[in-house]
Amino acid sequence: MSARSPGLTRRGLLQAGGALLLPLRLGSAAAGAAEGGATALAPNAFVRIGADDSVRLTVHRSEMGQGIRTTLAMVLCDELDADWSRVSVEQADGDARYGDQDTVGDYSLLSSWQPLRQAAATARALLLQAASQRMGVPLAQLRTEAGRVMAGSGTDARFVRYGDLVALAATLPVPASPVLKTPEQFRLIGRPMPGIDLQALTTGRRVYGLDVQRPGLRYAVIERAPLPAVKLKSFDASAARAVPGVQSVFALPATFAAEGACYAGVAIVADDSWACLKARRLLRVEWDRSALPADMPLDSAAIRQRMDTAAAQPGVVFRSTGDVEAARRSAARTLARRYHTPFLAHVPLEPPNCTAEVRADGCEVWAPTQNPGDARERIAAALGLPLDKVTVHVMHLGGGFGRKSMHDFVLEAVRISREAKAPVKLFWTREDDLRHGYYRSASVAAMEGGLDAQGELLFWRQHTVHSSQQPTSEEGAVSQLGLGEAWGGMVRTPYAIAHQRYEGTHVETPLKRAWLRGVQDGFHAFAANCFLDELATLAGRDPLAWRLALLAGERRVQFVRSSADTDLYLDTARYAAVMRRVAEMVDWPQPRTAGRGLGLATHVHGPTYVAMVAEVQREGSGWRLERVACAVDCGLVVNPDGARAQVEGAILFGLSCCLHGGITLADGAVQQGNFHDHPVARIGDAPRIEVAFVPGGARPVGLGEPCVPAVAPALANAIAAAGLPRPYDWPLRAAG
Amino acid sequence: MSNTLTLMINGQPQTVQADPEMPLLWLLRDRLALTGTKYGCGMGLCGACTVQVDGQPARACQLPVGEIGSRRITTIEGLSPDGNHPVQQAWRALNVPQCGYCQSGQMMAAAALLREQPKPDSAQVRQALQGHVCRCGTYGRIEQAVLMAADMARQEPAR
Repeated sequence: MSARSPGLTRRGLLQAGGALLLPLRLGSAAAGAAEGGATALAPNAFVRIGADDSVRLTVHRSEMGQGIRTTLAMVLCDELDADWSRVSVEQADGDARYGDQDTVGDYSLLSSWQPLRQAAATARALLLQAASQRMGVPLAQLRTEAGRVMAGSGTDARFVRYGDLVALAATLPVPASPVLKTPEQFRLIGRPMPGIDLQALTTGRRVYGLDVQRPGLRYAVIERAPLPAVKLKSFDASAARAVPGVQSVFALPATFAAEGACYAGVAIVADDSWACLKARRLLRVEWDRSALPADMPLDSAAIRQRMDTAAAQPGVVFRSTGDVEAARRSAARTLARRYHTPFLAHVPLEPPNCTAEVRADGCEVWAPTQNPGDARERIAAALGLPLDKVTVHVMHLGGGFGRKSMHDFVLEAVRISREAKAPVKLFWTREDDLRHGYYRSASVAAMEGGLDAQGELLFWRQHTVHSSQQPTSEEGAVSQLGLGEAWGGMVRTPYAIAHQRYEGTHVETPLKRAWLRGVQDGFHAFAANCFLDELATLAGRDPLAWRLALLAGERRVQFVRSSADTDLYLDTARYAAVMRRVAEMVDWPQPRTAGRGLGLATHVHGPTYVAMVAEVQREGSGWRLERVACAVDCGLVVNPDGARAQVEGAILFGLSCCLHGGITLADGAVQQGNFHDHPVARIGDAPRIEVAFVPGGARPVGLGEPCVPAVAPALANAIAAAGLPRPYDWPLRAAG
Repeated sequence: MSNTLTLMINGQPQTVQADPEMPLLWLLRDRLALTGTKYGCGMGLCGACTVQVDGQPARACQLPVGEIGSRRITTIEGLSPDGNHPVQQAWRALNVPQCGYCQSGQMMAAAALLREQPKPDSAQVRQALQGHVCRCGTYGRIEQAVLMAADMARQEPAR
């Protein structure tokens, strides 16, 4: 970090209501520099230390169960040496001054770690300075602990509370480069901590988006078209309007917005949720499908056929090493396989919803959004308002997984509130969520590989075919996949294979696509790990030993990236370490016992390394998942218990995706509607889970997504190892 | 159509004007500001709306208010006066909730199980909670927390 950072001046320390208000600069350095001049170092978030010893942190990232509120509070509290029981967090509104607030991509802790520590260390330095003056004790004889500055020990011990020092501290010169703690000095970081919101979460008091209450609130639902390209032809609302409590029924044309496109539909506004739902059942709507492109596949079978056909052709080459064609001709043995995955829905238990109040002078919104800063800009654009007239409050999310980064449900609420001239809570039913949302694309991976005469892996070709989810414009269609969609589990493969080629082909499908926890890695890692196991069987090699051999020693591998992304090295030593650790956890390969199979899968997601083993026991023609062991290198682990919970949760999420199938289309409509025809993982599906963290670095990196892509291939490999037919498609459950 | 109904909720009589077909879930959330009981599916499949009716777990999204009569409703807000039911304590001790959205329903069902079966084994816990969806995947901790709560309850005066 530069000596300038966090760039506080005496002017920057406000004293509001007797408190020390410590500014910090969150977000990227580039964002700060862009503002230029004296404001380049302006604070965009705050730590407030009150005269009553309270410490309040403004958290600029959305909380959806990943525990970011707790983790950031821990980092602050430790570096500041505050009293944990006096620390609270406040959720920031959507505001560009916080920089990027899109809570995706496992980035929150990584990006906040240094600025938050700098700010906390600055505050601690000021409090020590103030105490030194107040107590008449040299700095070197002072220490901080649990919200107090202490001098002496035993019967000579004296202390002053932080709260008694804030007034003086705010007047002192700000140290240019405050000293940060060394890891040995951490008191909280690295210790398991209880979630900061536990009391509210166990008493029904946490306020989610769907719980928002406002004076004069109306409720709204939308009956939406079956596909984004389908328009509203006509509707009969006579019976719907007759339901007591219904205020209005009106048409909503489809709208396009990047990451916020809305289906055409009919909105119902009523006094309460029940009146909305009752009226909706009485609505009669006719749809106009004439705008659907003639060559658009409208059912899952046609989509799959389209993708399989494309998989037989060459794709756009994203990376090529050596000469795959020549290698194929000279290989002693070759193998070709295809792996399929269906469309997937995020299915957050709290469905999308948003409360909006459009007034003459502006707009106020309460939403369980992962992306409040962008939402604010989209709303301002939609309403033709200046940005400062729009407020987006971020509520607690009942699950996100990437779904609530999209702006469709926010823009719908705003449109309805404007039409109704009242505050409106727009809510999606479970059927709406499964049928009309954003999805992870279906996919097929065409894999080819071969061994040389010595049985070494000679060539590897991986061709992904799926629907791109790059942002589109209203006019422009996407014609090929972006590099970022063929990256993790594909192009970013570190194995030392002489001939490799990675290709991708986009196929247009009628559903909207968005990032879903694990993103495209979820199907790339499935194909890659399963195929590597099949090649290992062909070569008579142990899958774990072979992967370690293919890592070819300790290397820092760099891959070509698009200019939008920073280069990320992949450290083969760290990858090998998690593989060895998981092997220890399950005593790999274990003696073979009847009907039991161990399956390995490994994956690197951004800067995080994962190795996973699933253990399956045959039961008749089926199988039971007994255990999943996972070794993770996510850098420095701030909260071991929270981190373990993230891994447990990611494993269950991955299981749900591959055990219970996904979304299918028939006659131009999604077939699933609720949990009876779209099952999800339940407590009976939960295996025994063991987690180990492999130390790897001085800073924390991401953990929200990395374990998800390893689950399906670990399970598929375990099923095959147990002597059952290898599954090539999801759901993985054996038939019969 | 709207009737005047008086319902016993968390030990208090609540008099409301409501369509008797309205499921209890929406009465609690929209009319009484008791939003601890959640909507997840509206079909009784996910358990997020679980309350207790005369101590038995029930899906509030499937219970029309006109059919409740004098039966006593308990929601998560009324599970304990101070948030310290053994189930709630165990949930906190094991850091069970992630997003927390499903947990009200899970806790209400767990508390009802322990009243019926003070010493459940793991299989009984899984069976009792099989009807509850958690998208964050906290199932392992939920199972441990119910067993812990059972131990805690056995060491406390009966609730």
